[in-house]
Order: sequence, then C-alpha cells, then structure tokens
Amino acid sequence: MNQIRKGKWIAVISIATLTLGFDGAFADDEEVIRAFFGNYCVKCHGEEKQKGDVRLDQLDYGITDHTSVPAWQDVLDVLNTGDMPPEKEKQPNAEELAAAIGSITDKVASARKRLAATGGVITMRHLNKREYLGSMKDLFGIDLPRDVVPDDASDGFDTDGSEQFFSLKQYESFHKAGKEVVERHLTALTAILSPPPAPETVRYDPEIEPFTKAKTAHERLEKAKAMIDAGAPISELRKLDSNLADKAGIKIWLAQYKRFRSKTTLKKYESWKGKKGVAGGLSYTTASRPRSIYTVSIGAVETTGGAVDISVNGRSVGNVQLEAGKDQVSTELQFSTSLFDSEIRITVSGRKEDIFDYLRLTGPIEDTANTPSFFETVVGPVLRSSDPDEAEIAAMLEQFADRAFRYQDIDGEYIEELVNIYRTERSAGKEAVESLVHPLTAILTAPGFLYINEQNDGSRGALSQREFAIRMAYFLWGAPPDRELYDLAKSGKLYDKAVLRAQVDRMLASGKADVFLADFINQWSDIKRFDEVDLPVKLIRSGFEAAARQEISEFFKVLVRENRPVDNLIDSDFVVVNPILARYYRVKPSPGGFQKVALPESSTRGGMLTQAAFLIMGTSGPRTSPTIRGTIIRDRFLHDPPPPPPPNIPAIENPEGQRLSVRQLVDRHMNVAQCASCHKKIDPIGYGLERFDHLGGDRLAGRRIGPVQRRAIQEAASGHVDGDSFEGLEGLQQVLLKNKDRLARSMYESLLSYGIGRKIEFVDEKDIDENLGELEKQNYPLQEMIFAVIASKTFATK
Amino acid sequence: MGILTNHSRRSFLRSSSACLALPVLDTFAAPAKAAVDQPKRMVFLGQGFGFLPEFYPTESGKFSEIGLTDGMSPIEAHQDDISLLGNLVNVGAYKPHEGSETFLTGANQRGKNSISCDQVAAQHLCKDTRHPHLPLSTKEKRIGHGKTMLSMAYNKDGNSIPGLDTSLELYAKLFVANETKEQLMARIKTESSVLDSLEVNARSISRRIAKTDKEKLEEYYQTIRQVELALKRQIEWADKNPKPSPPFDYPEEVDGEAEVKLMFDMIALAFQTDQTRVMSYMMPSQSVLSSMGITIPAHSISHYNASKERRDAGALRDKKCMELLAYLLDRLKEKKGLDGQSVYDGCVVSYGTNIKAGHSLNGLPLILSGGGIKNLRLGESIKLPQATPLANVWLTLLQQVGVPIEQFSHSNGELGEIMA
Repeated sequence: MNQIRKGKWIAVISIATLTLGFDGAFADDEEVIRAFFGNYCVKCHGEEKQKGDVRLDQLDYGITDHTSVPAWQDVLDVLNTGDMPPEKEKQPNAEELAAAIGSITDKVASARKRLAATGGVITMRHLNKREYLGSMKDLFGIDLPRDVVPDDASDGFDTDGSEQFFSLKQYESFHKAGKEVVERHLTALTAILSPPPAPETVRYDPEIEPFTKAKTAHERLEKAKAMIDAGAPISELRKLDSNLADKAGIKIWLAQYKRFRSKTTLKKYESWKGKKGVAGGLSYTTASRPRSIYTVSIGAVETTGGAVDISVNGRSVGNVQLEAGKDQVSTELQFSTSLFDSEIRITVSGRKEDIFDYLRLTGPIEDTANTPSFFETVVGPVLRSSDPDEAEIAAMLEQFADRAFRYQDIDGEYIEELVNIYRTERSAGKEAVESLVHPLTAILTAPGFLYINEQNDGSRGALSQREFAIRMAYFLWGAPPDRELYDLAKSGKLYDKAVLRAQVDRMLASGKADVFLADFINQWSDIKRFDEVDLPVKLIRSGFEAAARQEISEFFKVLVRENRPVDNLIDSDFVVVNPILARYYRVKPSPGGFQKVALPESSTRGGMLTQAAFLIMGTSGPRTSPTIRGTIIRDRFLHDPPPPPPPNIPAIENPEGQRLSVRQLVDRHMNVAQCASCHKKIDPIGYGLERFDHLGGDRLAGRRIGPVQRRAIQEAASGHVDGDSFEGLEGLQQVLLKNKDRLARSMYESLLSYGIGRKIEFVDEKDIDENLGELEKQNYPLQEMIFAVIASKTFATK
Repeated sequence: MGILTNHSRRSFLRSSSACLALPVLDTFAAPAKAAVDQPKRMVFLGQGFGFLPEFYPTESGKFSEIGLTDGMSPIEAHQDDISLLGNLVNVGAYKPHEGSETFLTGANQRGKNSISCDQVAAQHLCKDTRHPHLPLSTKEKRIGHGKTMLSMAYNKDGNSIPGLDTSLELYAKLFVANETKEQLMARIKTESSVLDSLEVNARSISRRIAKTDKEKLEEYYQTIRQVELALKRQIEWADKNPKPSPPFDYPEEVDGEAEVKLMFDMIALAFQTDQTRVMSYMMPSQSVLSSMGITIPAHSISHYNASKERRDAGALRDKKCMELLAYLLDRLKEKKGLDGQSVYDGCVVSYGTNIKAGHSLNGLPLILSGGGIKNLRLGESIKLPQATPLANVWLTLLQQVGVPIEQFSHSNGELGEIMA
C-alpha cells in the first residue's frame, strides 16, 4: 500500500519537474503549447483544415488584447472537458495533457490580469459598511447596530471601488438609517429640554404578578373541571378553553387534567400563595427620563449576603451590597440613563439562596456630566432657541455638513438648497424641530458624505494633504480623520516623515484601529470560508466557534502592535487565546478574555496555519480538505493564487465499495490530467496540515496512539511546495519560511490594495520592490510594513 | 446622459410642484386607452390543512363526465372552468403544519427560503400598476400555514413579505388615500427639494474628479433618478388615476366566512381597477369554521380519524372551501374590465394547500382556474405523473403569462400535461 502511494508520488513529482521548471516560472510555455498543438490539433485545426472554423497555428500567443482571450479559453474548455482531441484521433498521454492545460491556464490567467490593468487608476468608491458606521459614529458618537446597512458584496477587499455598485437599495438603506438616527437624536435631545420632574421613589414587589397569574390559571382550570363534571354544554366550555370544543377534545383534556394539569397549576399557585419575595433575581421595567441619575436599592427577605449585580437595559451598572441575614436592606447604587433610555429594565441577579423582597427606585435627577456628541453640539443650540431664524439654521446645517463631507464641496448654493428643504417643511406647517429631519438626513445621503472623492484630472497625481489624511484615517480606523489629523494636513505638516510616523503610531495604538486590524486580516485570510462551515452545535454553544473566529484577528492585532515579523504568521512561539481555545490547544488557560500565552517547546501550535479557524476553513464535510488548505496557503502565503476550478469537471468521489483515506481520495486528482495540471501545485501543500483534523484538533495529541497509527498520520502529512518536498507540519513551515519573501510581498500588496482601494498592477512594482527591499533588512516587521505602505509614493497618489 | 447636462429632473419636479396648488392638469387626467389585450393577472390562494380523503376524485377525466365528489360539489357551477391536479409534491417540504412557508417558493424547508412565484410574476406583470403586488394574510394565528409567516409571499432574499392582515387594511389600500392630496404634494415637494440638494452636491463633486470617477458618480445619479421616477409615479397616480371611491362602506365587525368573502370582493375590485395584477392570500381556517358554527379546532379536524364528529365537520369544511372558491370565481366573472371583458378572462387563479389529507404531503391538491392562459386544460381532474414537482406548475404558469424564465425553484421542466 505504502509502496504504491510512494510510487505514484514520485511520478507526480516527475511530471512537475519535467514541465514546470518550478518557481512558478513557465519559461517555455509557448514551446509546450506549440508542441502539443502540433502533435494533436493542427491536423484538423491548422493551415489545411479548419474544422469548426477553428485554427490553432495562428493564435495570438502574446494575448495582446481582449479579443484573443476567448479563443484561448475555448481551447482550454475542450481540453478540460476531454472533448478534444476526438476519441478516434491520436490521444496525448496524461503528462502531456496536464502540461498543456497547465500552461494554457496560466497564460490565460496572466493575460486577464495584464489586460485588466488600468495604469493605476483608483476608482472612486462609496463608504463600505465599516466606514459608514465609523463615519456615523464620528458625527453622532454612538455605535449603530451593524445591520442598519447591508453587507458589502465584494470578491476582493471591501475597499475596492471598481467592485462596488451603488443601487437604489443602498440609497434607501442609507436614507432609512440616516433618518432614524436623526429623528432619534432630535427626539431625545428635545425630550431633555423640558425641566426634569421632581424625583420620586417607587417600590416594586416582584411576587405580586406571578402570584396573580398562578391564581388565575389554577381557578380557571378548576372551574372548567367543575363545569365538565356538572355536564355543562360545550358552547359554555369552549369559552373557557378552546381545547374543550368537542367530545374528543374533552376526553383528551380530562386525561391530561388527571395526569398532570391539576397538579402543576395547584403546585404553582400554592408555591406563590403567601409567599414574600422571589428567589435568585428579579427585573423591573418602567418609563424613565433619559440622561438622568437614578438610585436603586433592594430589600431581601433572606440573603446569604454579598454583592448583587444590577444591570440596566442589558448593560451592567455595578452592584449593591447586602449583609447576610433576614429582612436586609441593601446599599444604594446610582446609575445614569443614556440619551435614549426613555424606558429602563432593571435586572437584579443574585444567588439562588437569596430571596428578594422589593426593589426601590428613586429619580430622576438631572445628569450634567456628559460629553456631548458633535451632533448635539451643533444642533443643540438651535433646539433650545424658541424660534430659530433661517440664518441660524443655515449656519447649523453648514457646520454639520462640513464635517460630514470631510470639509469638501460645501458652497453657498448647497447650503441654500438645504435651507430650502427646511423652508419647504416649515411652509407645509411643520414645527421647527420636525423640519430639521429632512435637511439633516439629506446631508447623510449626499454623495459628499457617502463617497470618498479625491480630486483628479484624469492622470495620476499627488493627493492633497487633507485627502491623504482622509485616506489614511479610513485605512487605519475605518473612520474619518480627527481634529489633530485635519489640523496637521491643513498646516501642511503631515508629509514630514517624523510627524507622519508619530501619527501612524498613535492611530495604530488607538482602539479605533481594532476594526481595521480585524477586518483586514479576516478578509486576507478569507474568513468567509470559516463562516460557511457548519460546525457541530456543541462547538457553537460552547463558544468555541466565536472564539476560533476571533482568534485570527486577536493574533494579528498582537503581531502589528508588537511590530512582529510577518513570518510569525507561519510560526510563532505564542498564541493569543481565551480560556476556551487554551483548553483546545492544551496550553495553560488563564481567566479572562483573549491574551498572549507563550507556547511550550513541545507545542505544535503557533502562527496562523495551526489556528483552529484557519484549519476549519479547510474542511469539507466530515473530513479535512488538503485542497482548500493548500489553495489558501498558495494564494496568501506564497502569493501565487491558483486559477479557479474549471466548470463541468465532476468532483472526485469515493469509488464504489472502497473506503479511501483523505490522502488517497485527494491523490485521485493526480489520475486525471485535467485535475492534475493545477492540483499538483495545491494539494501537496495542504497535506502538510494533515496532522490536524477537520475541526482543527491535533490528531497526535491527547490520546494514546499506537506507533503504526502515528506513522500513518505523519506520512499523510508529507508533501511538497513546487517540488521542494517536506515532512509534516514543521517541514511545511520550514519551506514556507524559506519563501517568506513571497509572504511579505503578499502581505504588503494586500495592505496597499486595501489601503488605496484598488488592485495592485504592474505600475506599482517599482515602488513595492523598493519598499520590500528596505523591509527585508529588518525581517519584515508588520508595523514598519504598514508605515512603509502609508509612506510610499503609491499611497499618496490618486 | 451626464450629470452636468441633464436638467430635466429638476425642471420636471419644479414644474410638477408648481402645479400642485392648481386644479388637476388635463394631461395627467387623460383616461387610459382601453387595452386591446387584457393584461394578465394572477392570484395565489393558500388554504392549509388539506381535505378529507373522500374529497378527491378517484379517477381522471372531465368533471362533466366523471362528476364531482360531494366535497367539491359546491363549485359545480364552475366545473368546466376548474382543474384539480393530482400527484403533486412540493419537493423539500417536510413540515405538515408549516406547509405554506414554501408553498409558493419550493425552497427546501430545512434551509433558507427563496423567492415566491407570485413575486416573480409581480416583477413582470406589475410594472405599471399602483401597487407592485398585494399579499394578503389573516389576523388569526398562522394555523396550518407556518408560525413565522407574514404572508405567502417571499422576497428574493427569502424573507417573508408583510401581508395585509384584514379586509379593512386592504380596503384602505384600495380605496382610501392615506394622505390628502395636499399632504401628498407637500411630501413630494420636500422630497424633490432633497433631491435638488443631492444634485447640487453631486455637481460640485463632479467638477473636481476624473472622468472615470464621474462614471462612478453616475451610478449615484441614476439612483436619484429612480427615486425621482417613483415620486413622478405618485404624482401621476394622484392625478391621472386617483384611487377609486369605495364601492361600499366598510362593514363594522367582519370575521370568518364574511371576512374571506370581503377579501374576495376586493381582490376582484383590485383587478378590475387595475391597482395591481398579482395577489396572494394566506387564508384563515379557524375563524371560518367558527362562523360556520363548527367548534372543533381546525387542527383537530385535520386529524379526522379520531371521531365521526370530526369527520363530519371535515366534510362541511371541505364544502365550505369550495363554496368560497366558487364565490371568488363568481366575482371575477361578473366584474368587467375597461375592455368589456370579464376580469376572469385575464386571470390565472390557483388554489391549494400543502397537505393532501391528515399529515400526508404527497399528492397535495392544486386547483387552477381563470381565462388568463389560453390553452390551460380546464374542467378536468388531471392525474399528473407520480411525484410531479409543484414548482413545475409554477414554472409553467409563469411562462404562460409571459415571464421569460427557464426555471423556477426546484422545477425540472415545463408541465405540458396541464396545457391543452
């Protein structure tokens, strides 16, 4: 068995060595293809005959323009589906066919990329979801729910304008979200203009409601029973209980009454009867005044004492203290209501031994300690003015629009149009506040707010410093610049290298950069694949799924903030985990959230390759998929994305009556020339992670494994990267480390592409080469790399 | 059409808002010319719970020859205008009591739902009507249909579209303007001033940006154009074709059978006044039974084997269902469109439920009627090949009313058997 596999393996390697010359270089593509055509095709598709009007000896080998692509694609399609050469003609052997398909596939792919090049044009884009939420937070000071606008549908990075399309649906969702936020703020700010009512104290006794409920249920049940016994007509019974609608229904009802109904309602009723207080916790909902201070305390019939947690509308506000004993009164706790808390639900969570008697609430008292949002600062004064004149309205709208539009494209005509909306509303009889909704919403749906627009005359040119600050802020924060950045841009100091460096450091250190680091690395690692895998319910409930997903970004945050080298993605001597993942990885868990944990020498984990989420992305049903794992590694770590699978080729399957290992199954790719041409560059890489199962668990850890099994697992994990063969995970990591220049280029180009919002093209090569050359000397530290991207010529160019 | 050159939007809105205070303009008030071909209209009715086994004809053939079962007898007056399809299966459905969820969508019930056939039809047929579709529902709990459903209609993302729960809501939609003309015009005036501001902003931006970016801004501008066209449609509907005056006062308390009849009256009226061309109706069961004086719950009746009493109630229910369907066909036949033809002549009516009888999903019943499809086989009990996908029926109906599609949901082919 082993023998056979090994034999085949060598054969595969030899195909690769023969035809590919490795290193992804296809020096003699044209020669391979011409030879193939000469041997198998031109007899019917050449100078003499042109069957089906196809002639192959005169194809455009350079693929110099778009019109040449389809002819090549046609050739590829018929080779892939096996339609050509026809059965009765001379057939190429598997190696020849694989080589030809491989060469043409690469030729078409590189031609497509070359022909799609724009010479570095950055397409103007509208704010993506992250940037919209960040921009709204800049104005309103609050985090909107993530689902207020639809997700971005983009194949590449979500910042690529050429992938975007603005539709009515988007306009409507921006309009709806904007209008709701404006209305909500205007209502809330207006509500607190009126003087607060005098504070009062209310007492809530939690047992009254459940007692009444249990009593009613019990009485109704017994009444129905009595009526049935007395032979009451069905028309009367029906009124009490809709189940008592026919004879069969009554029969079932009586059986249930006897079996359990009478007992459970009575038990419930009696348990509440004469009871004082409730056990464990309680919650109380009441109307409240926004932005005010309330005081809460609780009384206990009986308690073991200690702290009892209080939360208001789902957010924890602290705890109150109780002494152990009977009839205790707790300490008091003050909490503030937010601008939007016109109703509060107070939840008290104690221990199950505690019997709570009542909750006492006193308030409201005006809360003066608040940092107003930008919106409040600008709109507030107008709201307080009893009858604002148009000049006041115009000034307010201008101030709001100016910041929303990032200080671009505001002129008198535009402000006049905004005032005109207000005027139209007023003349239709609306109140002043009400009349502000539409003009303010109009600002939030205007192209000045929704689009990141950079001045340009059609040829590549330098950004203004303000445009640069905006681009950088959306890159590192997913939000507009703050005052400091705008000021530096205005005074022309931003391009000073020391100033810029200090700003980049400040921005990356800020919590506002979390969203960039997470969104970027999630897109880089193609986390969508993880989201599409159905994990066992147990792993979802336990919190493993969420933790595994988050690990990728938590790890990357540490890499960037500690300025670690990019090769830490291949292997690192630490992991960033929470207790759930720590247990999974068999490292010492420490309580709390995600944190850096050093790995013992013996651990196999470390780097992105061994992260549970990364491994799970390469899962296909109940087994691993070395193909997917290999694809991601070739694409992201080796910077050589494999072409998409051609259509109409059936998936590999278990041959009937045989049970194949994953390795044997995937190796079947090699038996089919059409598959082998690409898969030989993918699958053998993925094998390197075979010691991890489809849920990312280490097959060699934790349980007793016999030497035979151990050997089998280790052997299944041998493979090669472009002919450079390796054994197991460590071997794979070594080969990848040897190729870390490719990982560094992949990461640099991705950061640049994400940051400037377009694909990387040939015109960028020189700038990229120079920067990578500098970074190589320092072993590609990530924070330096981000700075290099921002400080590059390309980043400052539109 | 570039941003800088196109001023038609602003001038249009200016002029339309300028005339708001004036009497209705003649150009807007011109009556629509009588159409030569009556537009196609479709109504999809969903009942839930199925029928008793004896409701179904045992053989295939023309009803005029094989006769109607006792359960179907109330529809005798229309027996030449209906067909009952046998052997249908809604592939992917497995929940008997939640069966309306995928009745019009054919989605696999274990996964995400998908667009319903009425919505596919509406996209094609309702381009020029006041309402792009009108899904109707019931205020009783979704007994026999599906707990989370808002109506039988699902949008392209597979989300349930909120339906009108009562005949009162439909009445308001069809006959009552929810704002006065002054309010409507004031709203449109505000909205057009908003569009003006957006355009001014777009124009200042377009002065500074590269030509390729102007193309991108054009997408935004096209969106604004669509908003504007919607406003224009509202103005036109307000003037050219105001909502018809209510043909009757809304009766105070309506429930059960009377509620269904009122809905049916208004379905016919909605089609007659061409306010929409596609409707669906998730029909009530429990309240109809109550109004018949039957006190056994609808769900209990569907488990008819528990007692003779239940089986008898079931027989009454089946007949009532047919009586009500006959009532709708009467209304459609008596209402005349602008061209003098009856509304029925342009209509495709489908009536069905996901259950055959008891808990059995295979062989669910579907009744087709209406003159909207010329060669539709009517007047027959048609036994289709075993396990014919329901989606094939939807595909065929959609294609026959002119929707250019090759496939709908899990369909695997057109259904030649239902065409003459």
